[in-house]
Amino acid sequence: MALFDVSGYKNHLELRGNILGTGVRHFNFGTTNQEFAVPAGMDPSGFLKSCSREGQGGVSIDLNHGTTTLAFKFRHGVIVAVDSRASAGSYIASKEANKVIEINPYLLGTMSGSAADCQYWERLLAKECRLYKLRNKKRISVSAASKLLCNMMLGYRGMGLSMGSMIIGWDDKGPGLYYVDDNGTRLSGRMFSTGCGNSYAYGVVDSGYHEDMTVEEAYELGRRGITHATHRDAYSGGVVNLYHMQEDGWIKVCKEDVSELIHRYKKGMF
Amino acid sequence: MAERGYSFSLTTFSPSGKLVQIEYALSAVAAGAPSVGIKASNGVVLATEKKQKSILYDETSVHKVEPITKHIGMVYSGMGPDYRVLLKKARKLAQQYFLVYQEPIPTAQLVQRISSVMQEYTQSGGVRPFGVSLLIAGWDDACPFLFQSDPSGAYFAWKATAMGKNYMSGKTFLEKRYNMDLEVDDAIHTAILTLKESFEGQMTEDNIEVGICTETGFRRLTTAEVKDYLAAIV
Repeated sequence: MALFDVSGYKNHLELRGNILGTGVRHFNFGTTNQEFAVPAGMDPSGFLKSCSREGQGGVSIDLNHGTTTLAFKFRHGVIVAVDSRASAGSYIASKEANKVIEINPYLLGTMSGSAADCQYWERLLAKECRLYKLRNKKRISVSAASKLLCNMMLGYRGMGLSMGSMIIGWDDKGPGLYYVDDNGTRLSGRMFSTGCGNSYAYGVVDSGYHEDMTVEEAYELGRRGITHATHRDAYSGGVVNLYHMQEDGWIKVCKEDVSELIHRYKKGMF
Repeated sequence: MAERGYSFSLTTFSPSGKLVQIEYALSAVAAGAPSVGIKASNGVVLATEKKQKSILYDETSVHKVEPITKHIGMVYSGMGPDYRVLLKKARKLAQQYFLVYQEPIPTAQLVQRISSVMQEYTQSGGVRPFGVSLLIAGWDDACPFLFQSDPSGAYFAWKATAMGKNYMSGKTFLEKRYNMDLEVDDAIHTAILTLKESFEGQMTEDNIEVGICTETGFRRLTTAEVKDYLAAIV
């Protein structure tokens, strides 16, 4: 009504909406709000492509990429093994990057793809998990945690995020392993491997896996998977960080240099 | 005396520190049809009186005990139209939670959210509080829950409670009859007896409604089942 407009009258729902951010929105399907605004009409993925080496001359931005991570379920829990090389194009930015985020004593997240994206979004996931525990008085399930991460990815789908992550945990339903990536894919499974070295890791773990493995055999399999992948993949290397998710939480098993490990394994190979 | 001048504005405190409109909303609830909730060891029972003013009413078309999700259900005392609005909101809130977490909403979370909606209507301009108190029954994991949500936005967890007309005598009756080891069948029996205390006229399967929430989920009892329970009382 004209008089309302002139006098600046806003009805209570609008005012409430302004304060609480929950005003009438036609496409609000209850998913969490976006973390940061993206200017309308901007095309982040196109822009990123133009900045990388494939684009026109000038300064090129190479995002930190390249990894091998793997995780598999077995009788006594879940084994998680990751490498530690952070590469920016052909430059090795770090040989001891930490690619596992310890969300809480019962939840782990692995990172592959763009290091910045993984670190940011998984720390945000850790925050949401803490809030969930405070509000619900019980720990978040692995399924719900992976769903939260997946929702964040879907909010920015097509905008150039790069993240391939596994969420590992132990909750009321037992050991949990989910794969979440930047397309919004979310899969539950018994074994996953991500990163550009994943095919080598799959080969090793698929052929060495059997249902009644002991805990030590499982550790060895996880180590071998990463070691052989780092041997063949230029963008993976550094050390193997090995974790074991058990019923009463995760333990960090070891942190071993792959160059020592590969010599140990090669001796057995030839 | 001095209270009276403050009783018409929702958003103004009276000198004694009350929001008089909310007190009046509670009176509207206390004038509504009685309802009862009892938490048993293996489930929760909700029951309410559904007296129709005329035999021409089609009592199968409108229900007071309604499911919100597969594992949570609700009943009310007070104004029916206000209940419908809250029921719709509760269902939507539960689905929004599911969209984000892909898990059924814990009962306490749903109650907290719906109570916060009711509270919004006590602190805004141009609106009045809801004239209903809700009884929400749910089953999370292996635990039954029973909550009451008031027009003020306050919510309470109960082992057993009564609302609406004669709620005080209903509560006294329940205090005597309740014990921790009740099973759902006994709880249904007790709930019906509690309603009977303040029931005028003959109680039949058409003028009460009963809902139960167990590990298989929430459902409203059919009139045939209610008839069986009534026959056991007589």
